[in-house]
Amino acid sequence: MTPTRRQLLRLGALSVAGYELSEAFQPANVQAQSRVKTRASADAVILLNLQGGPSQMDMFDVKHGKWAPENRDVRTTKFGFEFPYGFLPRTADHLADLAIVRSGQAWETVHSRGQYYLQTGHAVSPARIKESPSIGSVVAHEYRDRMRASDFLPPFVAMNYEPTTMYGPLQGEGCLPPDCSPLTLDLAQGNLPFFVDEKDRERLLRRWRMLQEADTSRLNLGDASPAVMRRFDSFSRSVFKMMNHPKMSGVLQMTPEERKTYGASPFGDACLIARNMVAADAGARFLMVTQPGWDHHSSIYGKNLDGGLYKTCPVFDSAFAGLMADLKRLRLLERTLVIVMGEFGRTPGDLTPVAGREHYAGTMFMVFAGAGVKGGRAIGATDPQAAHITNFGWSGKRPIYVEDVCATIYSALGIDSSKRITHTPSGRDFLYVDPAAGTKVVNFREIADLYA
Amino acid sequence: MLRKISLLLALAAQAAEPNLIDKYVDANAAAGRVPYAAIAGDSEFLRRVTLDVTGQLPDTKTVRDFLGSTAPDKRETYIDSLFPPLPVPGMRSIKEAPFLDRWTYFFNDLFRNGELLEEGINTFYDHIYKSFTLNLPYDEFVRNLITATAVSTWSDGSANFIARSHVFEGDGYQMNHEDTADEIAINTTRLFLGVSLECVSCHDGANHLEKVNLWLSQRKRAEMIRQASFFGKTYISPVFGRSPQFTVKDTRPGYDLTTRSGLRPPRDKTMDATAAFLLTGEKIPAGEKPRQAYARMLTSHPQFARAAVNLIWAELMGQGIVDGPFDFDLARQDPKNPPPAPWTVQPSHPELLEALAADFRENNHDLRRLIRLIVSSNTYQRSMAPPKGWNTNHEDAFTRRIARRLSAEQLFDGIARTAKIRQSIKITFSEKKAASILQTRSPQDLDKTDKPLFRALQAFGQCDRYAIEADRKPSMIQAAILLNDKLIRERLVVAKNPDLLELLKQKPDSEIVDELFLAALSRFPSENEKAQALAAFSENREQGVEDVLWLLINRLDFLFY
Repeated sequence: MTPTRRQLLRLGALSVAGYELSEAFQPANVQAQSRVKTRASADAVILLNLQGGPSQMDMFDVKHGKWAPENRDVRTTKFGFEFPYGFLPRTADHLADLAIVRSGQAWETVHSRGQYYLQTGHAVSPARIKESPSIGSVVAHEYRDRMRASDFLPPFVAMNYEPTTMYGPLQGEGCLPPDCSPLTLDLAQGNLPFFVDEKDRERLLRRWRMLQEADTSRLNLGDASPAVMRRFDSFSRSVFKMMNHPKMSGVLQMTPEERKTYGASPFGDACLIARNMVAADAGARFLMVTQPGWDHHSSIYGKNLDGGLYKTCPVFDSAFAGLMADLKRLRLLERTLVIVMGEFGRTPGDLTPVAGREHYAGTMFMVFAGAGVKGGRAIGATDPQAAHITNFGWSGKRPIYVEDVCATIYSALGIDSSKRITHTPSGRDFLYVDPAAGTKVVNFREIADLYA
Repeated sequence: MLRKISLLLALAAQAAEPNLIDKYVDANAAAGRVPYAAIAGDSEFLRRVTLDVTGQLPDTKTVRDFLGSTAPDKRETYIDSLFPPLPVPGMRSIKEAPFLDRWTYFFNDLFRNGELLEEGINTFYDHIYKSFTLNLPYDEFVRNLITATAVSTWSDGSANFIARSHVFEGDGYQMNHEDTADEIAINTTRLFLGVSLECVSCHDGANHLEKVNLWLSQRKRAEMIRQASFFGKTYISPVFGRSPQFTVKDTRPGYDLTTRSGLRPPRDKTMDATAAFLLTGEKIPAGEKPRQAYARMLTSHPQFARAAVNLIWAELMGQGIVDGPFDFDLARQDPKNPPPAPWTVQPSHPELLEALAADFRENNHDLRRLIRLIVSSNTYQRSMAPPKGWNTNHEDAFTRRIARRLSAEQLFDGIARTAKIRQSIKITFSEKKAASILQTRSPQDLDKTDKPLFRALQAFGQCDRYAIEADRKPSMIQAAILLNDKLIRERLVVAKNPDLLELLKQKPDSEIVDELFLAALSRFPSENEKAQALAAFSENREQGVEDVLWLLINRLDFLFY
């Protein structure tokens, strides 16, 4: 069978390395508002999403009370603030690199709404849920023009986010083209379809050749073919290239020693792969890694139960410390912004009758490192219970909100956060950072104080 | 020989006598000089109509019989065969009815029958299934749901519909009565009138919706509250504390405007909250119960039938006459009374929508009749292949099949059928087993029994019956799963598959290839395809079957229909 010109073109394209963006997508209409000067200090952002709402007064804004468990081992660090060495022993080694925001505040106290906020930087609006892109998708859209020939990963990678009724779906591209959707990997399920075992590679290549030779429905695609089919074909070719890129197996490889260092958990594995992706310098720009299990409504200090901080903290601690150590060792931290936060905080003071803490919006922590962030600092302060903010600790002179984090992410990645997407399905512009949070208008902005 | 005949027939597929639908679509196309795609060949038609009406791929015997038949009315006969018989006294229960599975699943998705109802899932499911078994008129079906009462939704299924709209306070313990009434009004207006009231449930439409929906931009929050006020007496209470087992009755005093808690901004305490139907202003007549009155007003309004036919049309045609089915703008429906510029009339075919709605009303709101009417039309039976001169401006004309990716459930049921995998999925809170994904009661059945498959279904846009609507958008992860995921690789292993091993034992290679193509694509392989498949068999037959199966499920004409 003599291959047609079209077939040759297709086979030829395989030798070109790179994550391929389809030509078939219509660009969204994006306009800049005021041309914000960006920081552009990061090549990648890693957001560790502590799903459920981690307890601020046991972790990064540690407080005392008769409720406190004994073995948190709270000590004053050389930076002058207190830290729970018992809960986060290995994280303690990296405090010099961490800027810890204690004057954070959430808008929401319902998980799904809070997660929506965290992932999109926008308030839930029933009219706009379908069309609003997440932060990662905006990043993907912005980086379309900056794609390099050597890139083989998509800009937006989301790992271990399990869509549930309580937390809602992973937020994707909204009204942006479908190539801005996240690459999703689920380490808990060992779901790594991009990983090709060397013993299986020959067979995959053979099958792919068969598909290229025989799938007339792909070979005959033309301009008048349905856009969804052309898009699927384009995705197939992209992922096939990804799977067979010489560096891809390196990205998905985890040695037993490394896994152990990161805590040998799905969250640790995902942090390890995030490290590999950043180290590969292959186009991944916004990596969200989710750790579930922080919704400690009962037995928050219980040691023999499935939940509680005694279970979630060690998982987080090993993975985060492992990631920080490697990013530093590999000299990647200078150009990588790492952020740790959940969707809200937890109720301060005494525990509930079932020894837990409920959802709380008044105070929450956010941790920043890398990309020029000056570490060894606590920004802002709260009262002795962590119930109210007593000192905002930054030039904004108000609480720090998720919108500010969003603006910080865009600025670090060199994205003008004053941009807006016009011609959305609802007819209303989508502002990268929306100054209106519900009925309040707040002048949200990059948390520049992190860098000073 | 048979094959040759069927090929000839496929080439000669002729347009049938135009029906009600074709009349309007043709008139519209003629006015816009839109080119027509050819009538689909037998394979394309058979695969499509079976997937759309029953959710499953046709089995290979059905394909062989259909392709081999020379009967001039074989399409009509086949369409009739897709509908199960109506039960008559003394008849044994219907054993297998993919039609009932598929449409029950569809309405379970719409009604969000999911894990938040726990055991109520099964009673709700059974209620819907039974309603479709009896082919209950759609208006009666809807009235039953809206007016249902129950001591426990775990024993009486129909009341789960109302109970599903309950809204807890932020503490997760107390019910917020007014938010719940709002939610029932929003859900019923959306599902059964095609109008989305979410925005005006918090604020007036003015200064918000001018660019979105002309009719809604003129609505006030007060009007929405008067719609919700029909549910002011509706009492929904957990039977045991927080359990999702609910009592549903009508013992509350009424809609309380002074409620401060909940998800919505405070309501205007001075307004008149007397229940009044949003589309007519009709109030509850003396002696009629509020929910009964609401159900009567809703199902007798012309918009009810319009929304219903548009919903079913969208599900079968891939796009609504008003697109999407819950985004009706009621100020933009009548071409004789067009909206002011720059607005345009919303439906692509307003007269067709009106005619279909009238036909539906005049024929006892018969869903089966409506489905049959649509799939029997030439319009439905047109090919996906583009005609000459086609451009993107023609896409609303319905003169060419709109290609759709298989739904998540169709895809994995289709893979199971093609690879002869026997599925047996345990149904939660029940001893029953489902033989297909479309027979499961809710996504939790697979969440609890087969996590990798559950996650794959999510990746392909399965509705979660909570926040995620069913979706057929392609994504990278979907392509990756089909090319290389463990889930797919394991599903295609012949050594673990008794039916495939039997096939290898019984049949020569050439017939096996036929069988696999018939199962996946509802057609025989071409000469080239056969040669390639046989070449794959030459080294190792089992491996050959696996590779051909992989090839088939990765073909675009397997994934799209």
